[in-house]
Amino acid sequence: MTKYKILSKVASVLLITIILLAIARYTGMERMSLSPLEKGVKIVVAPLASGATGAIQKTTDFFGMFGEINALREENAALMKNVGELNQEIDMLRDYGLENTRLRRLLDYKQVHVNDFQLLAAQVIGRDTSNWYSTIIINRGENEGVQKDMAVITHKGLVGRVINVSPQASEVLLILDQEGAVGGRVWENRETPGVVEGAANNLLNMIHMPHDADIEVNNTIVTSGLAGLFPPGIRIGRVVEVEDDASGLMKKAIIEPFVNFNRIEEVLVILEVSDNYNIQEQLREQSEEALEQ
Amino acid sequence: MSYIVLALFGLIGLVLQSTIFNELIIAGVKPDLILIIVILFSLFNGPRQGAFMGLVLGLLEDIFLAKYLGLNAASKFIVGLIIGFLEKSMFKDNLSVPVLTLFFGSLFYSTVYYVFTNIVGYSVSFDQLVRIAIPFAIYNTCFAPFVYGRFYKASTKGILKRNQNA
Repeated sequence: MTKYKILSKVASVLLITIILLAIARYTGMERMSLSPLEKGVKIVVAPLASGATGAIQKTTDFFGMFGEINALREENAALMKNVGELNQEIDMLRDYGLENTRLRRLLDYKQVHVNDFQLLAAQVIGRDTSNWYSTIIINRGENEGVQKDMAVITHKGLVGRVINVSPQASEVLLILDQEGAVGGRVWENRETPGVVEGAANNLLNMIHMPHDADIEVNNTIVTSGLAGLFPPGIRIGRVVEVEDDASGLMKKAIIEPFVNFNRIEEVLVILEVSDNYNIQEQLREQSEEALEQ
Repeated sequence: MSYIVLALFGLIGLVLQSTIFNELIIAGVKPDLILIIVILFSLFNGPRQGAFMGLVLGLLEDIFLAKYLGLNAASKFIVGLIIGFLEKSMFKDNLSVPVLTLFFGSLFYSTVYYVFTNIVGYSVSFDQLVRIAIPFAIYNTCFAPFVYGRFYKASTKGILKRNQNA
């Protein structure tokens, strides 16, 4: 091979790599919609993935049945105990509810409804193929009204947000992903805002909190709604550890999400947040401030 | 011929990768079926076709994920190319060859991928690389005994047999 030939080969390898990386850089930014080619691949793969996931589910369900009986017995006993405790709690909460209505009247606030979200149920049909990002693919897309940046939850708490949509499927960036950071705050005192971002081993870190922040282990973290992407007040997780930042100026908390991301099968997409919800949030805040004073 | 077969493999691999392989996560990583295909294919077919296969399957994967389009393609392209250079100097009927190739190939892939992600602007931390790369390489290597025999047969006698004109 002549020198020229070798050189031209090296050059073509470099060129291909650079072109690919340039495209990657461009497409890494969040885009408004997918190209027809990408939609095409998803349209082909989504039903296949859906079928495969279904088959796997059935097999694991069947074989899991035998192993689960003991676990179910234990769970049953634990649940029985829980029911008792919860009944007690309900009684207590009823009292609080009555008290709440009294206080509301006292403060002369408009009673607002609780029908907050318009939800769409979706099934998880696939996951990211690599080990580097945390995304899931769900079987609802543009056709059902899913749009980019919609929040995705389960009955337990926040899952993530939609990052791209095709007609029959959409991809959801989990809050576990480092790019899926969420504004959060402590539910117990409704203060202490921070940023919740993915950490290793399915845990979350809450960072950017001042060193005197009022946060303790077992506090519940909810979305703050400050960034505008997520509605405020959605449950995220429980604080398992609070530590000082390396600099000593900031505090950092480790949070265990309520959602078990390894075993996530069905999710809810928030299609619409009622105006009432936002008003209600504001009212709650004001009423608490008023009560404190 | 062998390209069509492998493109089909790629598609099936992609579906498996995004579904059943999620049940196989150990130590926080799952194996990369497509990378295994690319590495073994390159080992048999040399740098030119290896790089091409890496490019095509990587691109397919990228298009499916629709984020950082080209990242997998570029990494697998490079891996296919480099592994392909080993083609002539390896005795392929010894099982230690694919085992070592898969192990070091996977390590190499993670490193290339890490470098590329940081060029492209998705910041993967070095800790993450260390945490992922080694179990990932070991895991991929474990697939060698299952896949290699069939691959060897297909490449020397069966459907993947190299077209002399290509």
